[in-house]
Amino acid sequence: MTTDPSHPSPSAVTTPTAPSAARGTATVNGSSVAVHEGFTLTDAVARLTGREITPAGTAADGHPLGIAVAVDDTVVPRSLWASTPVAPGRSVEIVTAVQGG
Amino acid sequence: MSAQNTRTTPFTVAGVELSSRLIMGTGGLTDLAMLERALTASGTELTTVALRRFAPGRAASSGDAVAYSGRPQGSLYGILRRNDIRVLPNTAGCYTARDALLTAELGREALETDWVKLEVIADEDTLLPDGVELLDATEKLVRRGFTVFAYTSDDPVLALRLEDAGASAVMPLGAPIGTGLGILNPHNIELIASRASVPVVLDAGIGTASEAALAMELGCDALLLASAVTRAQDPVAMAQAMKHAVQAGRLARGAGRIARRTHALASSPMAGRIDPADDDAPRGDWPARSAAKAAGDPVPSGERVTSSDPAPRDVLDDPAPGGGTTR
Repeated sequence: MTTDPSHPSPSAVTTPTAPSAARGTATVNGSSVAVHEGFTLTDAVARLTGREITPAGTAADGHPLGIAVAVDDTVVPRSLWASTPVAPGRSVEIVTAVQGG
Repeated sequence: MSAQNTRTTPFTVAGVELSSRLIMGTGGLTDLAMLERALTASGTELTTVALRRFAPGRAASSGDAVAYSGRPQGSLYGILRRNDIRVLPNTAGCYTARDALLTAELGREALETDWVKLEVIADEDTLLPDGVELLDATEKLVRRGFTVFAYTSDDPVLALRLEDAGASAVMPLGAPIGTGLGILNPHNIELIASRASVPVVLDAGIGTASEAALAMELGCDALLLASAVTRAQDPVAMAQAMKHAVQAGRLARGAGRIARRTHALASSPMAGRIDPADDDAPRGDWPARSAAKAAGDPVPSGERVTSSDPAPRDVLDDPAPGGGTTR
């Protein structure tokens, strides 16, 4: 998938959650996202879904999260999200189930 | 198999028993409440979903497909959870085995199930399965521990290849996805059903209830449909119709249909027929009728039988030869 950096999607949150300075951009669901030191897949999922994510990669509200994450076309199990940094230049896909045949 | 057994034998696939033989897709309806009513009316216990990028704010009213994840209220997840419906993630939209593998892995991670409806299509105009990529993906997914429901063409040879590759069910199409053209090659579907040793699920092409019944009459173990219900003018009514059609077709299959014949075969006995009066005898003419009766002749046919007349009762009580009916 290609991303046009001049037209970031409104769904992409570009403000880092941590105070450290941005050190590059990654692609999340086709949109350019600024990433900083210590920004993990857990952070990316929490940001996109607006839900609090536990270190185990589950939703803090106790309901199923129903989310899967791939980095550069490789699925990263939820148990590894917290320890997987989103490095600049990486392509992250965060997917869920939707209606379909 | 007796009719009773046919009706009550659950559909077992990959070691899981389902009491409904209708698998319903969720695509095509933007009204979540309507979708839930249609799903429950269909009686399905297994439903397909697709994997797509998480889009914040995706909602039923937006016209987009409704997301599975999220809180129980107002989500696809909530509907399936409330109604105890298993989820079957698909790989819709994948054109290569490589794409399908990644999508299947994402589905397994997101929904915590090894089941996958494997769909590898060749082009977007026909949405027909790409047999080469499909077989390749089936082999690889089985090696990775997936339970593969392989959406395939109506090719009996490919269906067996998929079974050999380890597919848990083969799902031949009746017609291309969303066309509602019914079952274009019933002979092939029947061949697949008779030769496969894994469950055969007819998938795609169904437009109305008679076609659903036909799929089961041809020997399919189950039926998967979406558009026929979700795009019907009254999805809930069509879901009900499909539920009954699948049951009726399955029952009929087990009941053993009669052989097709070239010429007619009467089901009423030929013996004991009345002897009609001459054609030139006056009809509806009471004096003539009375005269005939007085002379011991039978009443002219076509005037006699009424609901209160005991004569037809004798005919009904007389067992017809060969177990046929008298009407």
